[in-house]
Amino acid sequence: MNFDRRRTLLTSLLLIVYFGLHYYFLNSEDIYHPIKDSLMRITTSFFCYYSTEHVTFIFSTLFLLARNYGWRQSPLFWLRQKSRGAIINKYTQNTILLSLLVAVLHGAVGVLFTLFVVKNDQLVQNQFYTLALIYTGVLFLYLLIVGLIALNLENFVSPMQAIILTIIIMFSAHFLGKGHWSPVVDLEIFPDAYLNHELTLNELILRPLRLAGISVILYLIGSNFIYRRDFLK
Amino acid sequence: MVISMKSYFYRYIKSKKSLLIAGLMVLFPIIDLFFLNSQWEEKFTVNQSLFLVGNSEGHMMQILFLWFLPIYLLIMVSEYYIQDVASGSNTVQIVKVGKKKYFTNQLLFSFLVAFTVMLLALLVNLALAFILNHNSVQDPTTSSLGLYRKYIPQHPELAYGYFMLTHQALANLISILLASFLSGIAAVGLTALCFLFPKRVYAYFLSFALWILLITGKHSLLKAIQPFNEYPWTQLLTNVLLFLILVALLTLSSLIYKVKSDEL
Repeated sequence: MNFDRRRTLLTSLLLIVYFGLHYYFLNSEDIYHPIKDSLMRITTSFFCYYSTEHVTFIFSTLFLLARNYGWRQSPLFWLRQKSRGAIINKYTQNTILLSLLVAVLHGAVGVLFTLFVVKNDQLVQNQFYTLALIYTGVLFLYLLIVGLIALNLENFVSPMQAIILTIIIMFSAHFLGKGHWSPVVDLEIFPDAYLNHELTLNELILRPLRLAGISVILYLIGSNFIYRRDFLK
Repeated sequence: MVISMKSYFYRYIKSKKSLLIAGLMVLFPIIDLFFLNSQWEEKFTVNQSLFLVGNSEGHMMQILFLWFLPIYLLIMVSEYYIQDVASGSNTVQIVKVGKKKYFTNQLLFSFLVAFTVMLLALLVNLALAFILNHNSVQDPTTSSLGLYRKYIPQHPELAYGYFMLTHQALANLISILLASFLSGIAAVGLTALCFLFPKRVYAYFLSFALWILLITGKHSLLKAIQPFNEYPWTQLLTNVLLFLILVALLTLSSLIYKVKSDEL
């Protein structure tokens, strides 16, 4: 269950290649024929690189699969820990690291590729860098929530089943978000800034706090659930 | 050959996991039809209310079904080799029927199962649409017929779209058969991927990432299986051919590697 250095490196390489190819396939028209509205189309169009649909359906699934791949679950790990409380701390620490890695890679690939398409002046004028940084932060918190939900479910079912259940939960959360609030609504940074002009300072403070609050609650739930886990199974 | 296929068939029937996924795959299009009828005030005609046409709002079931297709196919049939390696029964079967036959049988069986289940799911959807929407009249595409007539003299590659709109039942049948065939081919590709990476963590991650890349952007495979689209037929043919070439390369390379390499 510790991070394997070689596997983590391989996962990050795969993710970089994947994010790059994904960006290229989604925006190939803008890459070859850039127009004035390219930045809008890259950041705010339906099913774009930064859209909530892609985050919920694809990136969170990939994150869960990468999490399954990047960690080696060895029985020795359980033996070496002092208590079950220490296990959940280690788990949460690794989830934080991995979601930070995925979010930073996503953001870095997005910014680098956008630099090739849109001129720097226009990016600075539209505050793209600031918004991309905020987006990376919010995406990190969102992926942390996804990881913690999967971690809590793994106390009761096998890792593969936990992934499928988490996908179903995130899926229903996305469709809940159309009428009410759900964590994925907070990821709409670019549409709110460029189209709706709703991204006030109040919102910017509230959004990360909400997501962080949910992840703290999930951590507390997990630290209770870990005592019911059957490690022998 | 027939005998070993029979064993696969029994394995499929006895496996609860595979049957559950097959049931899910049949269920998604049915749910989609009920969503469609509840979301719009007037019911669509039979040809416009099928699963692959995608007239429902939000496209929930299409996303659940078609975007996560490799995961369903892997759980249903394509990961049989991973199970064999985990239990060690692959060596027994190879000794019994030979390497070449073992691997080709796996590929053939995965194609058959994926093709049959997809065809069954879409045909059940078709039959249900005939029962529920048989006397409805709403057709959102009739307004675009005039536009097609206007633009076809300048853009002859749009003729396929016009043909689909004027022969809707035929277009639906073509797309149902094409979707079933392509999902069978996808299952073959996934099985070949499992030969190369006989571990769940690698196979699921790689297959999902590959599939998502195949269905995004200009060369998306899903454009080809949706009837009544406005893309030129040259692009649809290119997308299908690209997918077929990729799967053929993957399958051939993994088959040659597995048959020629010495496992001892």
